[in-house]
Amino acid sequence: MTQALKISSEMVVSLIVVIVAGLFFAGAIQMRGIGGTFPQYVSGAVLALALIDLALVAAGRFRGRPSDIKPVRLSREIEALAWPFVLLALVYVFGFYLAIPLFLAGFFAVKRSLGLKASIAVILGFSFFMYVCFILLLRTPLYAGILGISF
Amino acid sequence: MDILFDAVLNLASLSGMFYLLLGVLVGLLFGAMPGVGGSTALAILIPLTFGMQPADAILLLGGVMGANEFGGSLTSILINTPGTSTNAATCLDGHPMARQGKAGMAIGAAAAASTIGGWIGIAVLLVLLPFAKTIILSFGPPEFFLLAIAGLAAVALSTGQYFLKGLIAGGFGLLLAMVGFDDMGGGQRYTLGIDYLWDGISIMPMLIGVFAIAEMIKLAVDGGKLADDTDVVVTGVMDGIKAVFKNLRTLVQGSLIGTLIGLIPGVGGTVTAFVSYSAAKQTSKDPESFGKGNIVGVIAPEAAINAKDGGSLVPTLAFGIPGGAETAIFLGAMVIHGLQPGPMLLIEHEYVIFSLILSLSLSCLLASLIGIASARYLTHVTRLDITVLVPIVLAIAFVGTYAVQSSLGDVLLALAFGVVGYFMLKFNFPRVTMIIGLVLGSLAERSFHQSLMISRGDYGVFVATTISKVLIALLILAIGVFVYQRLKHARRLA
Repeated sequence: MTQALKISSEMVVSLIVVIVAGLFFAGAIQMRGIGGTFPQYVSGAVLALALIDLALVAAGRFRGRPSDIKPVRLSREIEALAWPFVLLALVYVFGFYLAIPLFLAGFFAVKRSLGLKASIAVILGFSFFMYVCFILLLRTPLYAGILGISF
Repeated sequence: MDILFDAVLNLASLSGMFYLLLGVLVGLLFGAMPGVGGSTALAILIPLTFGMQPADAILLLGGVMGANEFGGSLTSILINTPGTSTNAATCLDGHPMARQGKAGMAIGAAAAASTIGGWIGIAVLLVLLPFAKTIILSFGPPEFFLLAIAGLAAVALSTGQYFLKGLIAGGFGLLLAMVGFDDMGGGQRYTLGIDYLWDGISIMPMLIGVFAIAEMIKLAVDGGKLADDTDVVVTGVMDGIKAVFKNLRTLVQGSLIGTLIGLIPGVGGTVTAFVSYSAAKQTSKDPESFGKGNIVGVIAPEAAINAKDGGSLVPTLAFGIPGGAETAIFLGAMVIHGLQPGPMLLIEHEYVIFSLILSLSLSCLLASLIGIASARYLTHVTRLDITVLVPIVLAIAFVGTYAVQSSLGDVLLALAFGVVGYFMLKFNFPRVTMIIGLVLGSLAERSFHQSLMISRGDYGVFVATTISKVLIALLILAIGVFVYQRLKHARRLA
């Protein structure tokens, strides 16, 4: 019984979905005039569906139904989710031109996925691809970062 | 006819052929990577098409769409690792053939069946489009509103046991489409006081986030290599091609199954391939040989997988209701090229439609030819370490997202959707319904308001015409059948 009542990650997610749907609904009912009609119907329906989903997940958990969700691997997931944020932070500070080689070098170094020569080759190759594709062909000036690093 | 001729001329031009060939190569490469697939390829390629003419962009994307599934078939046959779940049925007999030293024969059969299957699907598309055009012209705002809702529900239904989660994701997609300045009522909706959100949520960052970034996060969590491969020998390709013509009934049956199932929005290639495989097994004189290297077991799913593309383009092009993830991304690409997906696309942009049809037709053939020639080497991409692939795709996704509108806000949004997409993947919320909700959101809301304006606020307008009644009846019937089946299944388990 204790096992059955223990809150699963699936239940937490269903609860978050209910809260988000509730926030959308609360936002919709504050809208005035014709622009509020459709969001009110849709968010109301989504909230109702989210509540049903939560009830079904909770009922399934209570009955001890096996879940088909992979168990949470917290450290791996946090690390995997952190990498894109690291890239964003690097881009914000150094701009794309410097951030991407730095990110690739950092990633390869931490993960030890490539040797030094191969890492340098991939980084140079990707930087060349980026320059040819975005600067020469698409003529898109890339963000230079708050430090203003550009070519 | 002039429009078709113009599209042929564009395809025959040097740049047209270059983009198509590039699309085919990218499609084959990504299709061969297990867990990556065509959706990721399309999502990261779209920003690169930004500076192109719409027709060239469509040739490139059509090349990817036409080729990625054959890339997955090659790894299914050679190393028993399907590029996407769509190719899983090909493993059943394709890999046993490879283990018997008949890899080339299986690849030849897969190449011929997928090419001819693709052409049959496209032929059906060409036949059905004029009828769809006539139907569209008889639609008014209430019918369009119901069509958008029915399309969304159909896609959610196709997710099977995740129907409820699919509907919720679709609902969130509709709500996200409402973010920004409201043209109809004036004022802002769901902008949270953030200026960036005044223009609404762009489809591009959402697509890149939900597909490319989310997939990379998942791969980073899973770790390891995409798959282990072994050295393979590819001989006897011509025997495989001949076998397809000796099994014409299977080829036609598989192609028709693929096309018909493709017409139903959201029913993916996996279902199509397995239905075709089962039908071939059930109608075979030698069903025991299936699963042990029967070439018919390769022909049937391969013909269906590519034929499905033609079928799924009917609701996509005619009604703006994407048949699946790839067609949803494709519709997103149309948006950034200034083409509004929806019923009028077929009427106003025939050139685009013909360009897509031509690129799909040719990409099936090119993918087969290039795939046969490069099969041995293509399987090596599965050796690629995830820790090399992930940072590169993330970098391309970030630069690509920024390049579309030169906006760092887009990159942040893509990242946010990447995280959301990862959790959707993990907790079985179908991502495609959210995308379809976003794509159909403006059509649904506009049609909803127009209908109520026409009727002066009378909701009876949504059931006033025969078409509306038929759409509602179909929707209720589909949901009813689904609920009945689920209850029956639950009782059987109990």
